[in-house]
Amino acid sequence: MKRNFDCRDFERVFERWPLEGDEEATRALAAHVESCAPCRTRLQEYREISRLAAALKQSIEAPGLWPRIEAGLVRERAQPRRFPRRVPLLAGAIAAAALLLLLPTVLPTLLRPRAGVSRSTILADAEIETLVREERRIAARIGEIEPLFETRIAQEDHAAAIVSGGLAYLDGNIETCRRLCERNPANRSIRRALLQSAEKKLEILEAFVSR
Amino acid sequence: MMSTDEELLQALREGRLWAFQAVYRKHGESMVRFATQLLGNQADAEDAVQEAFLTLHRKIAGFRGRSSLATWLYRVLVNRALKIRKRRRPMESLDETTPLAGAGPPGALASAEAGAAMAKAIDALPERQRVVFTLSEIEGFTTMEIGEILGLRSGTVRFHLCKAREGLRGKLRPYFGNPDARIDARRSAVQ
Repeated sequence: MKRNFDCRDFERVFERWPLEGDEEATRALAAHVESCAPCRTRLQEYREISRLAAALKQSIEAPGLWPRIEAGLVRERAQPRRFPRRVPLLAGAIAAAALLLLLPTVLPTLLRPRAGVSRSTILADAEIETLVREERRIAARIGEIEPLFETRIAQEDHAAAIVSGGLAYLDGNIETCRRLCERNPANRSIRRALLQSAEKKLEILEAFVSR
Repeated sequence: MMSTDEELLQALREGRLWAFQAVYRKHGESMVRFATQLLGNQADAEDAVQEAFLTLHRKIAGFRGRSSLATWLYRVLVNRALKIRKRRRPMESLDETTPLAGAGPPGALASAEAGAAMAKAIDALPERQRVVFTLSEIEGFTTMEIGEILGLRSGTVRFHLCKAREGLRGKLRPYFGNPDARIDARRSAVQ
């Protein structure tokens, strides 16, 4: 059954004017204003406002605007982009190939669970000590092998030159992790990344010098 | 040749001039009119529209089609126009006691007088109300579309619209309805 509206109810209807397809509210309002002079006046004034506003929608001429926009667009297109739209094909192919080569060797190391290490993100003092000891051991071993590797480079061993690119990448990682470890010595993920990079470097060096 | 919206969008992303011209043909005039209403003069309005099209060129790659191109473009235009308006001196607002010249037919304002009074009254509205009212009553956007343009909820849009309408009603009331009341209002304004 339809509710009887009074003026207070219509306050809410007026707030939603022009009602945008709410036919029930439109009908109810029309019925109400038949018998309510203040609401009738208000509705008439609203309609008058809408009529006057619609009359402001007049045709407007702006003949010079499109040529200005067009000139602006042409100018913008002529300017070099801050970032190239496409990565050069060759560089993309090289990056993809390098990634494919690295993934099978790096992934197992990254995903390998470590015995005796808890899952908390913060390392306990004892764990830090163990990891630092391990880092030192690997660093010492790298220190022993690296001169041999550099000798090969000096002898212009072609394979050594290729591997040195990958080692430089790992060195960058190790350096960054060390800096972060100085600030966050108990951060598990940084320590883990440092150890993994160092282990990887050692693995590559050992494999190379034992050829 | 007609193109679908998708083709048009693709062409815009590729920076094709014909696509920008198609958008301009469709929305340019109403954009200029809307910006003129916001800024009070056509020269500034044209600057705002030009900047909106250049922004369209720069940012179209990020347009995901969640709203229509028109509401997206108007959103850019509103931001540009309000920036331009802020840079300028505040405009003269409608003085409630300002007598309006000329006599109109009984029951309604003479159209020229009414247009001028309405334009001034809209200009004197607070910024949000002015933008919402202009988009709704002059450009014909729905409450939902205005919400998309301004990043507002529909309820908030309706609130501003109602406030604007009541504000205009207060300013223009002496000129509605009874011609005698209008003449009395003018007399009291002149005295």
